[in-house]
Amino acid sequence: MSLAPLLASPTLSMTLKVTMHVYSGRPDPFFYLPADGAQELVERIGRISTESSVPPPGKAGGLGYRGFSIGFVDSPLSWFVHEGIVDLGHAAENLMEGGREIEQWLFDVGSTVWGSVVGSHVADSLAKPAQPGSSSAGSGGCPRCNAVDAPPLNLAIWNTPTVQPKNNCYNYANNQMTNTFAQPGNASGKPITSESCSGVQPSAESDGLVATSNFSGALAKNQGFYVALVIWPGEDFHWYRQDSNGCWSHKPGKTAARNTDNKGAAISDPKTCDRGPYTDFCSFMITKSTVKIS
Amino acid sequence: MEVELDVYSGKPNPTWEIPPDQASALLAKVGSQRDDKATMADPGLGYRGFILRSGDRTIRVYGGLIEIQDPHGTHIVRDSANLEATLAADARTRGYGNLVSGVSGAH
Repeated sequence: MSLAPLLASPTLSMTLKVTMHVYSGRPDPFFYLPADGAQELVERIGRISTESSVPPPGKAGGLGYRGFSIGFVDSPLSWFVHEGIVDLGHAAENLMEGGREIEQWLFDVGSTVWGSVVGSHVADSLAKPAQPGSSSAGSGGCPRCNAVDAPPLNLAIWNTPTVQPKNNCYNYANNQMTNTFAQPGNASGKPITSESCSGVQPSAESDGLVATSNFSGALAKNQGFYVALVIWPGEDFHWYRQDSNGCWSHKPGKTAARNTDNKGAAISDPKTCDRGPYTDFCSFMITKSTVKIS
Repeated sequence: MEVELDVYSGKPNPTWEIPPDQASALLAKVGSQRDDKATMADPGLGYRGFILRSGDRTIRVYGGLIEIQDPHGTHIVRDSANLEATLAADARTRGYGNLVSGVSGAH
């Protein structure tokens, strides 16, 4: 990829602020990359020729090391690098390294900034190979999210007095606040026929969701994101969605949206998490913003 | 008074109305022993207790505790009269026995 226009940009004569994203409670450590360092960074990025359909997994959050951001002084433009994927903001498509050389280089350049504990943690993370699209590893112990459209985990917008009681698991999974406690098939005139996989899944398909055997296939922009349907046999249905950080979250009925299962554990796969009485796993499905629910 | 059995995720929860005389008897079981250190558990999927709506009060009954919300705020009292078991017994008579089978003391 040619970064010649960026190289010629006056912004690159400036110092860049490089932040390592690693903490949860404390401010993340950062250092300033002088102009010659910025030049080398751009040259390293310019040597990458492979585009990526997925974002850097750490950009969506997580616990522990989750990448570097590179900020430009006096410009809203910022870049993000994690697991070998470089997000250049609106300047270009995401890029994919064969390895993690850029992260390793930034880690080495800023090595005097982080202490030994953080440094050891990040060194361990960087020692793991990055093979976006083929590895199942994502950020913070989450699987990789392969859907560009996957929503970010943002529980707070769902857990408000005006939103929480009027939106259920189907609303949350589809990322649509209809305030109608949406039911599969209501919007398309095909209500559920029973509280079973065969009684609910066709209604969801009628709304526009598409069944899929797993959540590992890459979904480009506008191709939607992954959700999962489970059943409490004879009683109820429930939905999960995969967020952009790779883990899954859900909203049990009128209660608060959350990213933990009935054991309080993070959900790396709704097929295997603690689902209480929702014992039947039906299918992973793909939803998108054009799906209509009510 | 409206009683809601908080148990479903996708479908609306079962609800039913309690006539005033029975409601008074149930509300009399709401204790007054405050427990300011207690917090209501949120088990996630499955049975999550009962929600009573009476006037401007919303009362959640679950796991040995009662959370009372009114215009003055929210506080928790001990379910010393086992109101949850009484409500579960009532739910059984209405055909929801399979949804409250795990309620302690309701059998």
